[in-house]
Amino acid sequence: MRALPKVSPGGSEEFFVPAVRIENLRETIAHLEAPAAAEARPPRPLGVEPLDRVLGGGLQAGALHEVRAEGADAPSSFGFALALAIRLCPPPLPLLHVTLPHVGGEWGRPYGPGLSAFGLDPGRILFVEAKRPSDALWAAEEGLFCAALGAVVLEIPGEPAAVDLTATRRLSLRAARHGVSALLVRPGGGGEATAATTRWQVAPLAGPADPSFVLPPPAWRARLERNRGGRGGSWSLSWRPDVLSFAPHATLSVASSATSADRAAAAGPRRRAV
Amino acid sequence: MRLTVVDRVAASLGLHPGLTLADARARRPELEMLDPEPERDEEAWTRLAGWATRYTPLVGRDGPGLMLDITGCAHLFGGEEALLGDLEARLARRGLTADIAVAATPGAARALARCGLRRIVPAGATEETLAPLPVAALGLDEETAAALKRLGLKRIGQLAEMARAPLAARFGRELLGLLDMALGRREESIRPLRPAPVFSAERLFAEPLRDLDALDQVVTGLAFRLAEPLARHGQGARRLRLSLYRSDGAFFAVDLGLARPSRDAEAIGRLFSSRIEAFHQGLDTGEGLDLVRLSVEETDGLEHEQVDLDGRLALKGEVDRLADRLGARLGAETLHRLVPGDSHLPEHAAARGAPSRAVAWPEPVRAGEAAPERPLRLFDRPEPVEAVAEVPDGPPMRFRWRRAFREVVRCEGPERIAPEWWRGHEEALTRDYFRVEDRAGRRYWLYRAGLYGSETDRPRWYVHGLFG
Repeated sequence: MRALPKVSPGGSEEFFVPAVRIENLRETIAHLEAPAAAEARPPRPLGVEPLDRVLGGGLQAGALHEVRAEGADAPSSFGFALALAIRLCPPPLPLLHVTLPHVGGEWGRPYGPGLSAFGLDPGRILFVEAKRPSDALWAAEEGLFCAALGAVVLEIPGEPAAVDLTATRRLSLRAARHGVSALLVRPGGGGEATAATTRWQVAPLAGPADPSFVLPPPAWRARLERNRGGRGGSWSLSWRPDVLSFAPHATLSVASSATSADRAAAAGPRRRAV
Repeated sequence: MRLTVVDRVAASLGLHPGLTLADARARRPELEMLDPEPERDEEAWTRLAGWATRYTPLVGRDGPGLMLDITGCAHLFGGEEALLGDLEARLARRGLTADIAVAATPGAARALARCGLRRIVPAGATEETLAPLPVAALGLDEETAAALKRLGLKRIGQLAEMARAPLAARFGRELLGLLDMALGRREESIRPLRPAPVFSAERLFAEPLRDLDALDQVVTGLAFRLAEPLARHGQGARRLRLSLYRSDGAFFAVDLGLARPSRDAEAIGRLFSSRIEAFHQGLDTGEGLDLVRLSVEETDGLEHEQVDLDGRLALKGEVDRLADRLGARLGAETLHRLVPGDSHLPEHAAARGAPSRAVAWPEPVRAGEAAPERPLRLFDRPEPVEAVAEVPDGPPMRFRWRRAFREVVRCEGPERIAPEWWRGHEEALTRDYFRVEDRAGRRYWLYRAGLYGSETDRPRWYVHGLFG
């Protein structure tokens, strides 16, 4: 599709692209190619065997994953989503973090040394604070168009009208297109429909009172509410920044989560039409 | 109260600036008067100056008027006479009358325009054209003009023939300066409102352009034309300006800054497209645009891009282009990166950097299976809490933050961070940081400000950050 040269009144040559917008064409091609591309992307294991079995080998890169938190607890959903992002997005792939200005005021801004200690080089992240939810969605979509990125983390607390089924569907389609993973962090989000491939509900995991004055790695109770590839479940997971991997949480309810996961595995990955 | 400015009709009736209001009213009772609005005048002049860049990028304010440097531009309009005609016609369409003159020096053009003489004076004819004009045309102050008149020096020609030394002694060097500038004996450069662009390309439309989609194509086309000289000089654009001239005389300018120098016409076209969309929600093309110009105002070296082995540079380039797209629509201030700070004070251990400044952080030292030592989120301002702790330096046992009590179940600390007294923070207190977990499993980064006894007897507590 070459542009047609046309002579302008001024005598200079200009290029006009025919009526078909290149953008639309690209979108169509991407749709045609999408299934093949998705096949080519192997799932990324999270590091906890029973969980990875339920996910069909691991978390799908180039897909939309949604993380919610009970009680609008932004820090725990942010931490869990970052851990997923680290598993999905090996270095040196860059990340885009998109949020709204008030989030930083309420929960603090992402902190370089903290990100670094968590296992993510802050230098890999481009931060955006969009003024409105619609701008944030737009920025995230732009990020998903950028094939050089590994992941886009979009943090929108509450339930703004802009983040609806259509919006998540768009994010999901765009994520599939270039294989850029999308993580939608929605502390305080309700139960509305979503086009996400997986949806997690997380809560910080309280440990037993411990006089040893040594804190263990961060841990969550993570409920997989939606899993397009199979069934859900609930796990107690901790994040090990030293090995950049999830681990089964050592002290709490390992047995119960293991059995539920084992049952899930025994039943095999049941495919559901979505 | 006095008249500050009069229009042509009033001037023809013998009214002139400086006349008292009472006098003016006595002469012409039907006189219509408006209060002066210097600020709006200034705005109007700025708009007019912007519009006038359709003739040349070098447009400056010049007293009560504009000065255009049309050197090398007139032929684009079919010569000086045609340019002058076009300018007059377009001003007239906006309901403006103007005194316009073209001359080899700014001073000569200014003098002719002051006398209301519509002339185009070739370089060699400056002196003879100015000679018969009144000395006031030089822009003298009233006192000097009156003094010259008393000496019988009424015309510029007479002044030019005078011996210079006595003139300078009697009237100061300014008079000679004005005279020399008018006659071209002394260089005078105009002060344009914006610097001349490095490169620019433009398109005139015989049929005004209304469609914004077509405008996108035109901008991309112009960017293609600019790419060639940029490539030839091994340069890429850093700042660009898109000037849109509407056929009814309205003028719009859209500025664009790039994180990295670029001459990628498609990308530049897309950036302008989103900028127009964002900042001129439905840019009002009215009757249509008759001239579109794209100027490169600042460049930077851009040789052929080299890609290192693992493609990092290519990645960076892609992400920089993404940053440009986001910045164009959302505003550059909404983007940042984190760069390591040179301080051990937590709030200065990271700093905000430009979107293009991707700096790899040093690998942190990790001690096996342990909690991160720093929180994922840090408050811009630490939030005060009421805490219960053992004196003098025990860990917190309970604290109240945001109206809720939180019981500390697990805790690690203290980590003592001393103030940086050498940076002049003498009043700062030593901080003891604790990583604590409450009954719900939430983790906080708390600190006690001040050593009990030596620095304070009532240490305060703060939440500085939150862990994931």
